[in-house]
This record gives sequence, C-alpha cells and structure tokens, in this order.
Amino acid sequence: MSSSLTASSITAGGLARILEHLYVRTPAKYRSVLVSGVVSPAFFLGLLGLGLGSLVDERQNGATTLGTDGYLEFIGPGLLAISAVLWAFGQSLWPTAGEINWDRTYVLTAATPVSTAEIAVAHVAWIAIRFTAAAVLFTMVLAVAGAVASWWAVFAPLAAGATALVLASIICGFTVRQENEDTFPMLLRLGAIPMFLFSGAFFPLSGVPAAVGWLARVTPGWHGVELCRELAQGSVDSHSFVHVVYFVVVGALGMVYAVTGFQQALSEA
Amino acid sequence: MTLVTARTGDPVVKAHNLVKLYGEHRAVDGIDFDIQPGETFAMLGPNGAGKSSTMKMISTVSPVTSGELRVLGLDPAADGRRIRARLGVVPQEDILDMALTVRENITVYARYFGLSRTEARHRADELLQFVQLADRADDQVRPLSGGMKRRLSIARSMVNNPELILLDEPTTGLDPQARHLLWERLYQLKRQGVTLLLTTHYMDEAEQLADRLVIMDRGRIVTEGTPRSLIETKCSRDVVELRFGEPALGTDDPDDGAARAETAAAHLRLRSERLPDRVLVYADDGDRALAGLAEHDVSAASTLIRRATLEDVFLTLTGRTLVE
Repeated sequence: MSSSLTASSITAGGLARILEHLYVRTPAKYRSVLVSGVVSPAFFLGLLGLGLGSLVDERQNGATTLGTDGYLEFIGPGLLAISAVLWAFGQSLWPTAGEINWDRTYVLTAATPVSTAEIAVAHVAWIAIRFTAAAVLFTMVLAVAGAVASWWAVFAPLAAGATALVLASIICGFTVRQENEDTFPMLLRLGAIPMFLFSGAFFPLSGVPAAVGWLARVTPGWHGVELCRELAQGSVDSHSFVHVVYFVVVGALGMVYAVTGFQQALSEA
Repeated sequence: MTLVTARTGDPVVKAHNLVKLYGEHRAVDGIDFDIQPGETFAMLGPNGAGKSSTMKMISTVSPVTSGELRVLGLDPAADGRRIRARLGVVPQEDILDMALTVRENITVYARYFGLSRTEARHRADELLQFVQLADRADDQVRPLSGGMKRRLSIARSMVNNPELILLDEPTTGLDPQARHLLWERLYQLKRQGVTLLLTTHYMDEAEQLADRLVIMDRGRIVTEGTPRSLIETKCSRDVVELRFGEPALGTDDPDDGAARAETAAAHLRLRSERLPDRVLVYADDGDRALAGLAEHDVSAASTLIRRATLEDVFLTLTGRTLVE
C-alpha cells in the first residue's frame, strides 16, 4: 500500500464499501444519534433558551446586545454547532482508537482492496454523516421552538456537519498517532471544554478578553456557531463565505493529517 | 479468476534482500525466500523473529523498507489493491464483529471484494459449511468457542477465492482438539491447491502442515528446507532428555548432575544442550547414548528418548528455545 496520499488512493467505490460496513455494524440503537444530536441540545435549548433566556432578554434587551431577536434565537443555532463539537470529540478519541488498537476492525479492513486513505476518510465522514442526520432533526426542533428566522436554515445541518467533519479529521489524526489513550482526557480538558464554552454559543465573544476571543476565532467551533447562526437568522453575507472557505481549507488539511496518521498506524498495527 | 501469474512455476511470493525497519529496529533484516503455487510454506520462529512483519509486507499493509518483494507477480508498493483482492488474511487475533451474526461477519467482508449481497450470502453459507459452522450461521459471534472463532476467521479469509492465504499463528491459544480440526480444514485447502503461508512458533504445527519452511530468528532466516530434511541435516535422529530433580539434603547440587551429563556427552562425542530444567543429548541412537551416559555415572531423576523435532533444530541453530 502506498504510504503517500495520491488521488488514486481514494475512490468513491472504496469509500462506499467502508461506509456500508460501518452502517451495517453500527447497532440500531447507536445508529440513531437522537440522544446526543437532538435530545441533549433540545434540553439545553429549553433550559437556557427559554429559562435563562427570559432573564437575559429582560435584563439585557437581547435584540440589541446579542444581534438576534432574543436569547432563544441566539443560543439555538449555537447549540446546533456546539453539539457538533462535542460529538466530534466524543467519536474521535476512544471509539477511533478502538477501531485500530482494541477491536482492530480497520486492521482487517486494511487487508481488503480498499486503501488506508479510504478507511481514514470514510471513518471521519461516518462521524459527520451521523451527526448531520441528527442536525436535520434538531434544526426542525429549532424551527418549531421559534429559533429560526430564515429558509437559509435548511443549510444549517450541513454547516454543523462540516463543523463535526473538520474537527473529527483533526482529532482522529491526533488519536491514531497516540501510543495509548493517556492523552485523551487532557485533550478533552484543553480542547473540548474551552471550545464548548468559548465558541460564542452561549454568549458573544465581545465580552471576553481579546486574546481569548482571537484564540476562539481560529477554532472550528466558533466558525460553526457563527455560520449556523447566520443561516438560521438569514444574515448570510461575506462573513459566511469566510466560514465556508475556512471549513474547506482546514478540512482539507485535517483530512491529510488523518489520512497520514491512519496510514502510519495501520502499517504498524 | 484471471491470474496475473499464470505461467506455471512463477513463485506466488518472491522476496530478495527484504528489509523492514521500525525506526532503528530491524524487524526484518535482509531475507530471501520464495513460495511456489500450491505450496504450504511456514515461517517458524519465536516472538520478535520478524514473521509477522514479513506477513504485513506481503499483505501490502506495511511498506517494504528496502529489498525486493513480489506478490502474485506484482509490486506491493504499486499494486496493493490488486494484490489484496487476491489474498486471504487470517490475523493472529480473531478480529470479528461482535455486533454481527456469524454469517454477517462473512457477508460484510465479502462486499469489500465486490460480491453482490446475494453472492455474498451464498458464498457465506458455502464457507460456513466448509468450516463446519453452518448450524451457527445466525448466532452471534461472542458465545462461539476459540476454535469456532478461528474457523470463522478462516472462512472469512476465503470469501474472495484467494490464491494465497496468509495465516498468522493460526492455532495459538486453541485446545488440542480445536487445533486438529483446524489443521484438517487447512489440509482440505491444501488439497484444493490453495497456496498457504503460515507463521507459527509451534514446531509440531509446521511439521504437520508445511511442505517447506524457513526458521527465523531476530529478523533473519536461520535455515530453510522441508521439516524432515532440516531435522535430518541440522540435528540428530534421537534426543535424550535428562532431568535432574531437587537434591536431597546433604547431596550434590542438581547442577552437578547436569554438568556431569554434559561432560559425559562430550566424552561420548555427543552434542548436548543445557536448558534451565533439563539437559538434551543429541544422538543417532538414543538407547546407546543413554547406556553410555549411565556408564559415565550420569544418574538423572527422569530420562526420555524421543525423535528430534524442529524445536531441536532451532535450539541447535540458535542456542535458544522457540518459546522463551
């Protein structure tokens, strides 16, 4: 198997076969990501959007401070994107390491005509696909709750899926390069929790120190939150295009990082 | 099936000065061998000998560091997909999907080789019949015994009608009955003309199955040949095993008994090997050797005369046992 990433190392047929395998082997109860993709964010939506929101709107006159009509409209799309962040972290650490080191499913897959590059891309894509399916449902919940103001919102699940894809590619690339899982809790503490809090999902970054704000703005979480909010509110402009370019560029780099990591890990597994 | 190496006599695998480095570690250190069509070829050696690394290069999963390797006449670096499409791989540990049934474990795998769902199901039933698991087709994998799981792994490896099957330590961890059943199935495959490459550290397995084998140690091939020819040329016909028990109070240390046996063997011009628990004396006539040792006042707690095995060949060539 070539250890370099070439165009011929990734084919649609190869990806389709791996995705079919991943679909079949995922038990029905886990095939549905309703809990992590819909129920949890909906819970937050009710708690924060309606509960805390009533206080925020009352005290801050939300429309002017947040740039939306109210806290529900502010936090709803943010929760959609931030769920993608948590999902990507959740699926890219232990479950990914397991496929190579413990269950070793991909060690066997690598002995079939598909390439390791295809295994890496399909693995990351499967994480994003499952989340996107849940994101469609959660966007409907947002619409019913009144947190959506534009038909642009139909693209919000794709934006959230892209957030999961980009982040998963980077984290999976990290995971498969680790000798063991000792570093995973540290990544959760230093990566997932700050990104959860400081991506602008719950409060505008204008309220945090400038350095923290700029640091947050280079993360997929912030771009995801902003893009989902712009789509949900129909305020699509050049900023939205910047987010899309960010996802394409960082996603491509992340995927190369994941592919080279899988190639190395599977050749030694 | 279209064979790229259709010319009779072309080796299925050909390696020349093959090297595999992991960082500074030379896992495979310049080995040469070839495997002929229809042959059962074994790589025998202890853990760390380089057997599995060689297997990974042949299965195209691990890139060759240097040297030449051809599998089914193709270059693994350039033709990985085409090679893998024609290989069957049975990994050392059973990589089975616990979420799927016995049959699904084969059908899911079959799809990677381009079989339609109907073909995959038909092929799975055929293979489960072959490995005597047809009655378990709809069962979950988890409750299967170790031997059944290994047979399922073998059935899965055959889904694409492979021209070469790689078996990495196929019977490690199995009880004797399961091992013999597995060997019998592998004999069947051999009779069908499938080329088999197996690694093992069980000398009896290599003796039972292999037409030809290489003995590997520390990344190198120590020797190669048929099991019988290796025993005949690299070792004696018989081996006398002498065990010296715990010394009674006030008597000699058991090491003295072992040392006396080694000296006596040297006097008798017989080669001997001292292991932690016993002394081996190599002789073409075991009974005569034992009588000679007795004449030299060698008195062991227990003695055993047996035919030499590949284990003895390995010990003779490397000074170490296969399982240390």
